[in-house]
Amino acid sequence: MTTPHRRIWALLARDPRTGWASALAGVLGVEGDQHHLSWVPYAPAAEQWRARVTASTAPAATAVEEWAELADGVSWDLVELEAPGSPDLRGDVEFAFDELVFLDRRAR
Amino acid sequence: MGGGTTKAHESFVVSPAPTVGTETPEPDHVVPGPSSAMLDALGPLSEPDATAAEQLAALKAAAGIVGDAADEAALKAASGQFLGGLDTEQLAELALAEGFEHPTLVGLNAASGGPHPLAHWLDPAYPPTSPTKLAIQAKASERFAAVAEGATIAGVTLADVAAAEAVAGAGGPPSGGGWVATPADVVTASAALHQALVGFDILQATNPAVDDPNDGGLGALLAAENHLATAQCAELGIELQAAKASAKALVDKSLAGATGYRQHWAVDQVVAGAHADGILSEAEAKNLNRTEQLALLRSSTAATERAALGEVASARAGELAAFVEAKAAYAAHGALPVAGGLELAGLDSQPGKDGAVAFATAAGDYFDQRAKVMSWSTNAAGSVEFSTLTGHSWVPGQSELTSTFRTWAKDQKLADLRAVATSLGMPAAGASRAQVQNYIAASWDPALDKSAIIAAVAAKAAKPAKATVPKPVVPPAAGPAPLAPPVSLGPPSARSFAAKHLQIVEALKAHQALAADLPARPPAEHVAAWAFGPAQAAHLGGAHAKSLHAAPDGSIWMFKPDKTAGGARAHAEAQASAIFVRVGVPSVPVYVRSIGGKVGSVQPLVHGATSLGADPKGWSQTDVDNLVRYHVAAWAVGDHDGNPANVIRTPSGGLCPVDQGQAFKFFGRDRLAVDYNPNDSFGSVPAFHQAYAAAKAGGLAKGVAVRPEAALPTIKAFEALPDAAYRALLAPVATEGVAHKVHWVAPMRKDVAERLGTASVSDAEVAEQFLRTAVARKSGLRATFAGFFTANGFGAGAKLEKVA
Repeated sequence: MTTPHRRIWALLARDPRTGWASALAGVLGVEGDQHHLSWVPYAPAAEQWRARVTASTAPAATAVEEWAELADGVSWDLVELEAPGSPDLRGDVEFAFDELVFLDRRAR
Repeated sequence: MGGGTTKAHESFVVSPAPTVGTETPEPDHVVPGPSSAMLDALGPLSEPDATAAEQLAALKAAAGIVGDAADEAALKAASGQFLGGLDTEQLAELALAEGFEHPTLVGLNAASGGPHPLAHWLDPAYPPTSPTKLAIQAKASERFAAVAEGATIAGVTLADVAAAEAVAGAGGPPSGGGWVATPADVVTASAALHQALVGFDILQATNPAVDDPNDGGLGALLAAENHLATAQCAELGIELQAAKASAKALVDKSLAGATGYRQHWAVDQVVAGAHADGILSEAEAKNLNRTEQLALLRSSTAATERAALGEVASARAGELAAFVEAKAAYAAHGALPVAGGLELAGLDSQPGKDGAVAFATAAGDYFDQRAKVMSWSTNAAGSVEFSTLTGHSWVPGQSELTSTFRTWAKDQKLADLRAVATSLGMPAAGASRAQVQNYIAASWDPALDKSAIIAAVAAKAAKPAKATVPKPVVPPAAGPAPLAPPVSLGPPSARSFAAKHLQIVEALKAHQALAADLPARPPAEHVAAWAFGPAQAAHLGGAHAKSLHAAPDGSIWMFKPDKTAGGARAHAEAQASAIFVRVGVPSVPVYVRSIGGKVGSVQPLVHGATSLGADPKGWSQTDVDNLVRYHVAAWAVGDHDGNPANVIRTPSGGLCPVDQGQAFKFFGRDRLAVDYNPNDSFGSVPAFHQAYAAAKAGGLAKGVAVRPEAALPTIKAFEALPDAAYRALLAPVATEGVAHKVHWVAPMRKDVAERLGTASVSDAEVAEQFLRTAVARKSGLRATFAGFFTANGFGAGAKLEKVA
């Protein structure tokens, strides 16, 4: 039996400051038929992704492939990250979240 | 506890910090030094015996005396160096002392000295209202709730957290008071919460303006959670904390599924009650969005987080007051439509010149303050009230004011204009009339850059050799065509000719403002010849398929390689963009290019734009009309991925569909029907379908409706496009699509086989079938949409076939 491949994605939303989708909305981790999502609290930019994820009925692993195929970075985007190496999927997602939220910090 | 660790002595720099992430870069010039008061305040940081707590206290004191950008830069440099040098344990200890709850669950993977969220949370250079600071505390609470519910995060369990935080000095009950409970009371409270969770159904929430109030059980749920969250029971200790956190996790999960306008109705009812009871202030009831209000109403939210949310509401009230003041000053010059045309005295007198300087300054202040308010007001609970203050997002736009000003300035002497520009900081000599006017207009118009104008004047004076660079791609400096000053018509009745005329004028203004926002569309042969610069690193890095490149004129373009379709998809997207423009639907220019040996699409970035909000309740009539027109174009090119995130709102407030990467994908299989959403299993439903559904469910804003007649201009534009021209536009899509066997090839092959009555068809015949299908679809748009709107109960659909 093989271990399912773990994949981590940063979900991004349009940022007026950069002109493309570079504002962190959340982090999604997928491993086999498991997934874990960590949203950026209070981020209006996350609203679009939340709506899309809430409305999605496909398994996360399938949906993320479709989103990656469609994403082109202008309106929104997702970026695959190297899994940080946590013992569990949730840990990898939260590891990535902490790194990204620091990079995306802002005063207002 | 208390952050008493002594930190090894270091000397701290007090020069500007390097920019990180998306922080606004410091201007590229020499920054003056910080004030002596700032240097004094930062002094304790260099004292060898100072503890970490003392050093943080010094930084907090310094944050209170920031006077200018140099002070701020010095503070950021010092705080960044100090906090960046602390290890995880030191950061957790300090954060705990500052009221942070569960610091051990933040920065789980942070290497010592590396980026750590707590270093940001503790940084006094950023206000406690910083959205990132709020997010960090909220995330820590969320993680604690998860481990309390039995989850492990990176192998960390509730027991690990309890042990770590006991060492760090945590473990007491959360601040905020509460009630003394016995273990039995806690069990009862917990049972009541579970009962409230069962009773919570957001679909039962009603609009109290129309129906009997019903919050779907939200109020009862929050009350039950707050009752449990404020229980104090010494006998239970960590078990009580775990029970509370576990309850929080359940409520989080339940609330996460409550979205859309029913959530707004429910929250608004609960907030109205809390405001009436004095629990929420006026500012909190209006200036926060519903997510922020929910957090504020929950006792399970960390105390520091709730305090910061209160400060956010107050700060927004301050911004609102500043905006009202700036608007009054601006209106005094007659620049707002409600006040008539621009009312400036001639510049041939000193008072006239002073008045022009005051006007330019007031206009800049007005637009600055308006932008600040609009950054939060459109999502705030009081958005309807605020929109009456700020006006439509695109009226009056800076570019429109610039046009009006230019028209006025034509009658003024250049010397007088120059005097005004000089008073506004422009070097006196050498500038042309256009440069002087642009410099003045740059006081309010972000499309114009004062430093660039000064540089252009200096370059002109130096008379450089004529550059032979490709045609620059910049928004047209002149902006939209000048509009006549608004005419005072008195209050027209809604049905009068004047009212209809004003609607048309408003629509025209919106269209012009949008056109000025979008990057220019250079000829494809120019873009094909450009040498794009090397790829620039994207902000969030990673294994990224997209890259940013500088065009010869310095503008930034995004390149996306077409990995899966060998360039066919790039051709489809580029031609869809070209078709949109031909039929008057706004579009960002897209071109097929090869960069770094890969074929893909390139397009310029649109700065300052946001996405269309996900809630149809927030869409204006102009928005819905634009979506109807977009629908016509999207159907013509077979693009079914126009979800709200694929519709951007430009700085002037106009809507522009982007991302036609799915154009033609479902050609031959698709249907014009509100239930045809091939991406819905991935959560993507086109914005126009959402608008139709919302219209039927009463989910659009009051007075906003789906107007089939809005589709007419686009239908007519398609009809005016000759078939031969349309085929020529689509020829590369057909050729490349067949060559790379894209999605639509199979149904087209089947169709052509049926048409020709043979099982064996050539690639050329498949491509021809694609073109025939596209032309037939274009030609039938009027009848197709008339039938569509009529079938869906939008009564005016039949009009489409009667109006030429």
